[in-house]
Amino acid sequence: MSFVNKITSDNYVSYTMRLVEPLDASYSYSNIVIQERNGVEEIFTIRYINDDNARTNGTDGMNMKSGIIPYDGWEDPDDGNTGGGDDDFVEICNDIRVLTPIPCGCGHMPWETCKGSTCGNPLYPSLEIVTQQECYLDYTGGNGNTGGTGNIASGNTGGGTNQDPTDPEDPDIVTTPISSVLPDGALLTIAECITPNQEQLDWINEQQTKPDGSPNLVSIWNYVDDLDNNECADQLNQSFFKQAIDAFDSGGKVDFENRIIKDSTFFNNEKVNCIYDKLTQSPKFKTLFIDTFGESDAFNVTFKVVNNISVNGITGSLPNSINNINRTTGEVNLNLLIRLNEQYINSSSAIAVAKTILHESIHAYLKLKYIKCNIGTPFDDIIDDIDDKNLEELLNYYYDTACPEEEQHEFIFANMIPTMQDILADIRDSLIPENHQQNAEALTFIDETNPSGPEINWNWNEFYKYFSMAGLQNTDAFQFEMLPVDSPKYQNYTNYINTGINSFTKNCID
Amino acid sequence: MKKQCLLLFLFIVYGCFSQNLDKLKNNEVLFVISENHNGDFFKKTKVSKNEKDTKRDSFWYDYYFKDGSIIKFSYREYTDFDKKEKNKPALFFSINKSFLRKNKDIIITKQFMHKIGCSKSMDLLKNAKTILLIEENPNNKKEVMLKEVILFEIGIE
Repeated sequence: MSFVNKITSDNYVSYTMRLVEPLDASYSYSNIVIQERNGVEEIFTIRYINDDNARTNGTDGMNMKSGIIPYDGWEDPDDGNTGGGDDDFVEICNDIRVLTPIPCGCGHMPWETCKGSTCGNPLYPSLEIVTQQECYLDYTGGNGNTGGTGNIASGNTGGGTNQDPTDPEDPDIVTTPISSVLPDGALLTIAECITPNQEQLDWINEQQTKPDGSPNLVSIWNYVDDLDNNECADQLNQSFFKQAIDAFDSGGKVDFENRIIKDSTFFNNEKVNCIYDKLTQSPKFKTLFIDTFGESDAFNVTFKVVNNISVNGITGSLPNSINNINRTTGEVNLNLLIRLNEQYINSSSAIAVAKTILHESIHAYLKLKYIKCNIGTPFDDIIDDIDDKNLEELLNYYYDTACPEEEQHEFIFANMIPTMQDILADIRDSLIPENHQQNAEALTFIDETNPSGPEINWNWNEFYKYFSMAGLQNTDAFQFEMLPVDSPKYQNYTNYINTGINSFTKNCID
Repeated sequence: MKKQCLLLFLFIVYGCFSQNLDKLKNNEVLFVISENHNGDFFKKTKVSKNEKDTKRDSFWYDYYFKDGSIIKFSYREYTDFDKKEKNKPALFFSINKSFLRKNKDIIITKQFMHKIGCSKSMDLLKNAKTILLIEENPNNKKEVMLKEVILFEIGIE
């Protein structure tokens, strides 16, 4: 994904590109230089060493000084010169590109509203790439090089060259540091598409020199690169990219393809992240949730783990987001936020947390279907005998007749328990160890058809059914079907759920 | 006689509500006293028999509130299957009855839960790492049994 910089002169050509070093957490980075000089091919790596402390202290930015370590490779096997230990001069043309906001004449920045300057030029704010270029010779043969770190060349430069290796007028390598893995113009394209604020701009600039090649910036670029101007201008896309940058900046993860953001609180929570990944292995969950939100750029979901809610999980609109249907075009914008309770995650079994994520994902799916029924995964892909048209009628019925807080729960209780059973069955073996399954199977329950008779064995389908009802206990349907509390059904329900939440393992193993 | 009844009433009320909520909030271990009989906002229900030791039978302990809400505790020989695999049973021991008198200010009673309400009671109980339920020892009237129980909650989603 790195772009290549070509430098040519008489009898000389070099190609320089970024090396991606995923395990390097510093702000130093490496380039690979392939050159042909007077017919001799050579390859070098050059490391540009940045003072991370200075960077942390804010005294140094992109404009790094470099220590250079050229290593030989690709020596022509025929020339027999495998190690002369010559010293090298490297001419470095430092080419640093920084995205810089240019305010309008009144001082409005690109991320601020500006209706045209009345205070002089420029009329509108903009973003520009400011290129700082500086060439210098770096002598790598001793301690006094211009990079300041005194690295020593490890070997010869290949052999067969006629130049004087100690002559600064005749450098052995001519290169330019490639600090970004993105092609020329990519930064500006990203910035123009996203119109970032100052913090987001700082993040983009900072990403260019990350030794891991900034896969996060690359993923944004890959997505932006496919958008046309209209798509870039789309408010929802802009909103999503800004959420994505904020998520990246705080250590989160973004699935651009499916428009799902794992906030850092979610992504860095090993348990919940592992459970979510297991859940996505269920074909039915994938159909219901992943495919729905992957269908359109206009549907986005953000997951977050919080400690300030009194419920296990809750699905709502993302604050300050656009959630509407355009009555003229019929286009739907939906930005949802699923929050999960940290205390509940920590204290509950892995399968219970999975059930809660599933429950919230169904809310997200139904919120979309209620806005417009024929978008997202068709309902008859989930439940055979209910198509989107029937679903629309059903949802309208529940929204008209149920208590406002329980509308979706009433619908879920009546229609979606079998789907939840199927998904829980899909993920059972990945979240419940076999010995725990065997322990559960040793438990006995009331025979609901003959309550005074002998108890009957654990039944996984019954477990999935009752477990799926957890969270739906305030619906009229539940209370009609399951109460009173001393009924055999309710007793079995509490016993299955008690095992489901408290007895199975709390751990999720990758 | 009326005066005696009033004094007895005051004593009961004082005795029941003498717990300090702030003090209890900081306790990692909480003690909850079980009622002796079902009814009157309390119910103990057997879930299953323990073939090896009847004292370790599984039970629900339900505390009802006037608004219809319930706080449920579950006692099982093992609090979870990991502990069962490692043969680490839930805490279960007997202790002299004087424990009740000496620790009355840190023992949660049904009356105390009613006083602070179901929601605050749940918050208090959820904060504890261990909850020990106290009930009579049928085989020794001078002792009470302490059982490690789990607070059962079907949360709202």
